[in-house]
Amino acid sequence: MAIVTKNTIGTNLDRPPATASGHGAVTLTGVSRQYGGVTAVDNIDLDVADGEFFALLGPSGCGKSTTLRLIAGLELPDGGQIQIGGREMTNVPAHRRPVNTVFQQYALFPHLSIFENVAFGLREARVRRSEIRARVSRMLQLVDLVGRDDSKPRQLSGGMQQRVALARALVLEPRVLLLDEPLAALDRKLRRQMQESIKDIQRKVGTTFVFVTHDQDEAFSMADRVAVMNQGSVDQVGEPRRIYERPRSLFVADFVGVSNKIPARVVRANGDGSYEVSVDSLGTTRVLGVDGLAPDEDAWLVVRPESMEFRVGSTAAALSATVVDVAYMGPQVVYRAATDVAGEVHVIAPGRRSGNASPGEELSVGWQPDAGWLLPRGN
Amino acid sequence: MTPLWMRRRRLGLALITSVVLVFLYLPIAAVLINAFNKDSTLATWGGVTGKWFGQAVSDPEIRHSFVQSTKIALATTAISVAIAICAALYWRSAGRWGRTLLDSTTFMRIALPEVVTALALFVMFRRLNITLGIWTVIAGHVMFNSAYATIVVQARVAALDRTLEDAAADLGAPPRRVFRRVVLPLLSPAVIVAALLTFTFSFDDVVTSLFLAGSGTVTLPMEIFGLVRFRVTPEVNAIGSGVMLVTLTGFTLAAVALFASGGLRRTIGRARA
Amino acid sequence: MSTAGARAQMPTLLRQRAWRSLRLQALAVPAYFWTVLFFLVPLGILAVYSFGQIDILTYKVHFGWTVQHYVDLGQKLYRDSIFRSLELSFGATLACLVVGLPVAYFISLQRRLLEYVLLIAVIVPFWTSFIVRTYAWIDVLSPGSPLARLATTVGLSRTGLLYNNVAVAIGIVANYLPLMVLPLYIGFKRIDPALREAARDLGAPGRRAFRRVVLPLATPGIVAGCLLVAVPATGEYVIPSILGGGKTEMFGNIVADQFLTVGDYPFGSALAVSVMALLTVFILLIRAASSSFGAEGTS
Repeated sequence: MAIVTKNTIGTNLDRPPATASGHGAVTLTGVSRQYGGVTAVDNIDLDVADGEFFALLGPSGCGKSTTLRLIAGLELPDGGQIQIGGREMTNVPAHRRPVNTVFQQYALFPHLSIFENVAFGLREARVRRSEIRARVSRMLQLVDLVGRDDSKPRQLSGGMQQRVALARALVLEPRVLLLDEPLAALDRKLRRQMQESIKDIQRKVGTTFVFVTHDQDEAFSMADRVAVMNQGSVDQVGEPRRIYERPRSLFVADFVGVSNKIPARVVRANGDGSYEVSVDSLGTTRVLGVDGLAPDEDAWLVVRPESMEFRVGSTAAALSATVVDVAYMGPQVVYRAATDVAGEVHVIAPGRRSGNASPGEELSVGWQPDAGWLLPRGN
Repeated sequence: MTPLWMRRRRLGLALITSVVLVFLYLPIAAVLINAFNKDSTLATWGGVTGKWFGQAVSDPEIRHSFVQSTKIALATTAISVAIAICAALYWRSAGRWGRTLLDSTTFMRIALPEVVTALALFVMFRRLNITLGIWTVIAGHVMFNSAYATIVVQARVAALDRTLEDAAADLGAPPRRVFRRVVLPLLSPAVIVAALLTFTFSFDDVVTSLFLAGSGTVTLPMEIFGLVRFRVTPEVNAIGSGVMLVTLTGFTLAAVALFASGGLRRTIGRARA
Repeated sequence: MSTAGARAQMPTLLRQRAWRSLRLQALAVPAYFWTVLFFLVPLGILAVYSFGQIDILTYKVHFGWTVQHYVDLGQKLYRDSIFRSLELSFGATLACLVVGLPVAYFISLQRRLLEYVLLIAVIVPFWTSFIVRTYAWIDVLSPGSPLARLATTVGLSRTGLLYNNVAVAIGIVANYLPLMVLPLYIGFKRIDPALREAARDLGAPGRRAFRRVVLPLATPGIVAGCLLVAVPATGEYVIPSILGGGKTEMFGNIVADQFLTVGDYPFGSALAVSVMALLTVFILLIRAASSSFGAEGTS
């Protein structure tokens, strides 16, 4: 049985891809920010590469919006350093940073027309009128909003306003474009369309995008790399696949998907990223896990629902379970089964596979050895 | 189908409301009708005439007091609105205590009856040997009008979306430009409303003007006050109609400006919530 | 190294922030200046005067610290006059409330268009000149007028409708009614219509639903309306002067008299301060009472 080490899962993209310019688009070093006793951002380091689509993902209150505002310059950090495009910008005010923001509520100027809104930054930069006209038209075409130049924001739908906000920020050709949960106010179908539009635009324009969201689906579908934040700190940074399959903490594991948690105890660390663990009723197996687990330590063996399968007849590496509930979702069937060792587990199987289990049935659930991932329990 | 008791009650309420409305408009109608009444006695109707208006307009005393009222109102408006804008901008960026203190000073100026504040000012001016005249009246008018103006402008400032200023800064506008391009244009409807209200309040004011005008200054309301002490002449009705026109115009324009800027919708909307 | 750079910029940052803070404080100065100079100081002077004494012959004021004037106010003569005046203003406020409640309630029940039309209809008189509206009642109430003749034939009044308490009360109600109706209306609108229907559903139709559900919930509006009318009405000067005919003296006239006619500043100041104190206590009491009652109503 070949042991799959963590290095064979995708490429090791915890670090940003090397760029020609030799420095990242945004670099945060030890940045922190407090508000009256509450630490919103706690000594974080972040490295965003040029041209990448980077997502800040986390629940409300985790500090992701504050981090974005710190990058934009709308807040100044209490400690740490901020570099943009390789230049030191920690104390540079917002209006002098080569960074632009698309706000959650769009923040379009209600007293200005669509054209004037998009042209706002260009006017501040004293660009010539003819050039303003050309650039604004081009940008409105790019976001697919032609012919509404003279309308006021309140005459446009939410989706259109969002595109104006995007155009207004992009027309200035910033080094970094920041997006603060810009799709939160849209309905699901529109959201999906806008996600694809934004992704296309980013590819076309090549600007670095930093996107804040609490929606794991959104972050994963749009971003090249994702930073998962929790209570002011960055728990993990990496490609979506890596975060999903090799989460660094229980919080990350639970935030980006459903985790079945099986109690395990570390027997021995093998030094190559794998551990020998003992699980009740399963004996000892070898699994991959997070660095730094010690012998005799209590841990969780985390398995994703889609990696679990029902096995008839008992084999090694299988738990006995009783099916509690079956939910047919179309493309998938979601099972809930009660085990005596691991509480209630979720199992996801493709919908068209026959031989589905029914409630009350007693079966075994098992998984492939490399589908398990070990995390400390103290988390 | 609405039940009978409900219909009867609605009818009852409608009746009361109609009577009340008649009651409210009775004095206005009386003034307007009698301003055109040929008979100089008010108990009878003698046909339409415009001569009372002619008399009023050609009376030099009336003309003089009209001018005085206008001058005072304009000066009061200019000073009050300036104070209001400053106060509102302070409020926008101030901390909790700063705001509370400012709100207290705004509120206290209009909480007391006008008689008391006007008399207090009278006493102070006499004590300091300051002659009563136009400027003492203006000082008194500004005292309470700046509070009303502050309330109007401050309400707009409070409703101002802070994110808009963030967006402007984000797009490259330094603080002064943010103010000029975003804050000021969005405040201007409220400033206009405040100016119209202040002008109208000042033009129509009686008590403060009476106590602080001294011997040489007479405003139009003061003139009316003096004339009606003994009897109501048709000429007074003509003057009254004129003054009503001025105040009505002022308040109507203010209401239109408020409605056009969406402010009224905001107020009624809150009431409906 | 990373934090050293940020810290080295601290002095300039602090100076910038201090400068910005100073500019901010400067904005509050005009309002404070006007409040202090033309509101607080004059009132302070009034308070000081109320403890002083005046020499009737020379009209010179000695600033001793005497409470004589306050004691004098307790004399039956002045006490009665003040109470009568308060009676009139509070009575007129009550009348305003009684008249205003059905009107405000009716308006709050209408469909949007009629609602706005009625609201504007009630507000527009308020937009016409205060003094003109006031003296116009002389026209309407004078003995020869249709209304007065109607009142005497019906037997409503013997002495006529003008230049007495009745005229003053009518004047106050007419002038201040919009100030009562508006807060009442807003108070009614704030009530969730579902509550009225729930009351009906639970067996309390029409007037009972109104009394037990709507009215208590509208208390904030009622309180606001009463305060908005009672406080200025207490200090009314114009209406009693024009419609009272010298026989009806409200607090406003009495006080003004002391200053402008009699010249007894100290006594007038004591009078003013006392009634102000009374009003303040009244407002605070109402506020306290309404907040506890309101809590009951919503629980």
